[in-house]
Amino acid sequence: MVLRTAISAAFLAALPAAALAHHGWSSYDPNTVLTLEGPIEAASYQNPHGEIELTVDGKHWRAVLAPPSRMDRRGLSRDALVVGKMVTVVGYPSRVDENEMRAERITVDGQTVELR
Amino acid sequence: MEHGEAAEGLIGAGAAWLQATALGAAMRESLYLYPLANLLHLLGLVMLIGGIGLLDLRLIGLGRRLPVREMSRFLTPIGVTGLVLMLATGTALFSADAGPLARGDVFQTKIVLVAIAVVNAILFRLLWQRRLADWDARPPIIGRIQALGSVGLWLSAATFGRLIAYG
Repeated sequence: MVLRTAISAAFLAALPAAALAHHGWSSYDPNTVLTLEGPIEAASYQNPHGEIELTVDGKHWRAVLAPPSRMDRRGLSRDALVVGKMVTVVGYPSRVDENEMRAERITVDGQTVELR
Repeated sequence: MEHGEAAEGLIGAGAAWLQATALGAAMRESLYLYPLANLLHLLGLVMLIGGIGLLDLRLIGLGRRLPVREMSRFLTPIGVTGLVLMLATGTALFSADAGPLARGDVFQTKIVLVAIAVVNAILFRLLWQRRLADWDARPPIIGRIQALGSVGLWLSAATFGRLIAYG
């Protein structure tokens, strides 16, 4: 009885309720490579991963970066991501959120840092 | 899953509160707390599945030369310690990004599976704890099904847990 209830509950729960893309590369389209350049409008250097916001050709983008520990290790410090600074991010658009992209690399202060 | 709107609101409010605590802020801001919690969460999983998973296999009927009661005395504390470690580090990891996580179907599925697995484990102890010495001679079929369910539930919970990062 317990087992049957458990199994049916598990299946019911597994039905997609509100598909919310969160992290992970699989929810981004690797066949579309975006290069966005502009001044940083907002930046967060936070777990589980950092983010910057920028507007390119009138469209507002949220670019998902890497975990802070990885960015720090690769030489992209917290101080590098300052509002107003020009950056270039290369990455892929989200399949779910049209204003979100996942950055493969970022160029700031003439330095390019791989984020994957 | 079917939720009442009130329940949904309550869970959302709780998640938002947790995210706003000092714990949530520390988990987001520190370079190393989040990876460290991740590591300990994984250690907890290894202890849980390594302890209870092995005991479950014996309860199902494998390795019959080993006495069930002695195995339970040795492995249960390891599994329970692993579970407690996972609950603590899981709360910490969750607090970093609680609001969006709580709305995700993969995360919700995982929590439901964990809850069912815990209830299954408590029921198992209530029903069979005092009869474990008899298990070597007469293993009850219901108990063996519960042990099978235990392995399946914990492995499923672990799977959905890992999938949160790929949702």
